[in-house]
Amino acid sequence: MSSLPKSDSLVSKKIVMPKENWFDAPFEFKKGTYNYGSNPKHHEVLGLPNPRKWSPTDQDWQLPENWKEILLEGLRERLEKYRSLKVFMDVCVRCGACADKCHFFIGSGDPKNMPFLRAELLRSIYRREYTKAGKIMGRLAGARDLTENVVKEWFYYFFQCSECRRCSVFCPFGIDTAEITMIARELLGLLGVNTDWTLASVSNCYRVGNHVGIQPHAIVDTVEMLCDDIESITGVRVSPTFNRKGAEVLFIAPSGDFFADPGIYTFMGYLMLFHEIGLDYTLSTYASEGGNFGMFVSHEMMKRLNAKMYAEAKRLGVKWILGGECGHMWRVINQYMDTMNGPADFLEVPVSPITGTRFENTASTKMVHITEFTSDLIRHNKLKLDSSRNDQYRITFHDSCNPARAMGIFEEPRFIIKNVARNFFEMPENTIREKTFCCGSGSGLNNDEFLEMRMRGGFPRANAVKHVVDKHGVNMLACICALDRAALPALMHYWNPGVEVCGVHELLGNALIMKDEGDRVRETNLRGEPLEGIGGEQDA
Amino acid sequence: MSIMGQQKLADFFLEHKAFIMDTWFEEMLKHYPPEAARLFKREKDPFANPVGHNLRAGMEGILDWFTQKKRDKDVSPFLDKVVRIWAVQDFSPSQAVSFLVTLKEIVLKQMKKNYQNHDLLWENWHAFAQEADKLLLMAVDIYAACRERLYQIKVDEVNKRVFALLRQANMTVDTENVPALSESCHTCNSCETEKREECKNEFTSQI
Repeated sequence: MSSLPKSDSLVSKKIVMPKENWFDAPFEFKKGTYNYGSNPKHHEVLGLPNPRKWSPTDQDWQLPENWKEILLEGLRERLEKYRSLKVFMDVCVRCGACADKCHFFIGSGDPKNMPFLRAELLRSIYRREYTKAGKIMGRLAGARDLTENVVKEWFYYFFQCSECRRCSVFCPFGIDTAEITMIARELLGLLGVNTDWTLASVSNCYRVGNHVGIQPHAIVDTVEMLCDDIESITGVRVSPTFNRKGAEVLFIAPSGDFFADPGIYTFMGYLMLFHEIGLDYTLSTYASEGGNFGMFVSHEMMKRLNAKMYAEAKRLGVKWILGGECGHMWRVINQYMDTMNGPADFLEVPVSPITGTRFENTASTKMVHITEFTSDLIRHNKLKLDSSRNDQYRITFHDSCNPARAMGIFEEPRFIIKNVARNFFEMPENTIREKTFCCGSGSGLNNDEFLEMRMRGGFPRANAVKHVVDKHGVNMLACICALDRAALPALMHYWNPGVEVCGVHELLGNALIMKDEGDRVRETNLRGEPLEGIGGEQDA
Repeated sequence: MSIMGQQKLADFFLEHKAFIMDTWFEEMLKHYPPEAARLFKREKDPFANPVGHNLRAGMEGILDWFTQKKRDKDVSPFLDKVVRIWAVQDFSPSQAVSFLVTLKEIVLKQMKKNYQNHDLLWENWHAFAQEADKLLLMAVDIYAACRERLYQIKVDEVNKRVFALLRQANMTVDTENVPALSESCHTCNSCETEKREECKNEFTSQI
């Protein structure tokens, strides 16, 4: 009998926020809510400090002896280097406008996931060390001492932020909480405190060229296999080239689109489009990754991974770069590349060889987003499309955080979808465009060990999808990010079974009528699902 | 249960639903830190407050079910709304279904206030408790299914991540040719279709 639970054990052990000071609120590394510690072999590959086997649940994290000195010196350096960080540390008045905007807070209920409070984790140390009030008055001024427990707390909460920047949209001061998270992660990295999933991807990308660690011959084989699939579906043989010097355009996609379902269908869409318009392009087995997990480690690492895209463009002598449907790649390109590795003066300002449109918005980075490129083609009637081929899908569009909030790509994907499909339904206004909810798995959190937290963080997005499922019978969630295509299927599977996930160019590939198809009637879409009984031009 | 018993129970819930709902929701919110409870309670926009909205919708659905004279509609979608959330939040398995135990406590208190006649109290309480226990068992099933789904997701994710490579290495299995599961799974016909769909990209190692 003694082993039976007592009646009061049904009462949840809720997180209690002390009335006096949130500093004292406890936290716990619970399974499903934290990321695994980084593997020493990746530290060695990347030349990162303090390689050792460790786990966040260890009592002793084996920090360097002078860890406090390293961390505070790191913070001082960054305060001097990044004016934005200094402003973000000083300017917050804790008005609370951001509090209920974070998907991790509204999905989990953990107060330290309120963006301002998450930022306070760092700010409290900043005050203690770098402000007079904090030095003299300590806790009264919202300052606290740096202890090992603070380091652990940072690791727990700054890896529960997906750097989606939804909170920044609502901040009256424009504080970019994602940048605070980036700095905190960078500081942790100085102590050798990284997450395994992120570092493994960075290490792969650094050594081999892509996050998955696929070597050049395997990339070629895989793309060839996708070409076989395209041929069996359309009868058209597309023949992409690899590492071809002198091509006009270098095309770079996130590696998830080469290898992972459902990204591969999006990749097939890209290849079909390029074949149809006769684009003079090449793929690279060296710059075989658009994504940049370096962004989730440090500015230096982000720069290192971003550089290879431009180095390859230079080596191949292309005129400009076309980028696939990726998320954080575009934040890196649009917000950091120019002052990091740019300007890319050795390239030309991108001009569409089909329509003649000059993409002035990319005059410095020389890299065009594929939805900009494709919507321009459609706008100029350069593509023949049969939208009825997507009739089995009732589609909604998830604005992927980075293209939406870091680039303002709102209309292009919608314009494409509306031209390639006939059933499109928007989710509620406060869950799309610049207010879009994150998939809950961005910024290197898309790992198995973090699944419960991902389901909590993704719940606001899933809840909005549920609304259009109930109202319009939506069964397809389109997006323009490879991480979304990896993360959203799991999210849908848990919260909205029956809803599938696709890229916009998969839908385009379905609808695209290729000249080389001749009179052949397509029997399946890119997923191999039958197109029976579908009307439109293909029956003509 | 007699028709009469059902009628009385439905009437009781019709009369006391609002009070029970408010008390029950307050009790539910005690499981969260005050900062979160405030949001879950006050924010009326369902998209800005998915947890509060879905908990409330699930609980209201359950109470509405008790107000029905026949109670022949399926109550599981409403149980699902609550359990699915608590299955991924910081709750133990027993905590995740404890909201129905809480409901029993609230209803008992309210019935004691409402029925002065001891026999009448016993008759209605018994009628309610029987039904509530059934819901509790259903909630346990839903909880187990939710957790099972999470583990299935982990397996699917690993497979999907490298689907093209597995296909290239000829390590995928075409599930169209896999025998139907029903022969070995008589108890659960409903999941057969679902499992087959989920299996689309699964592989078995040929090593």
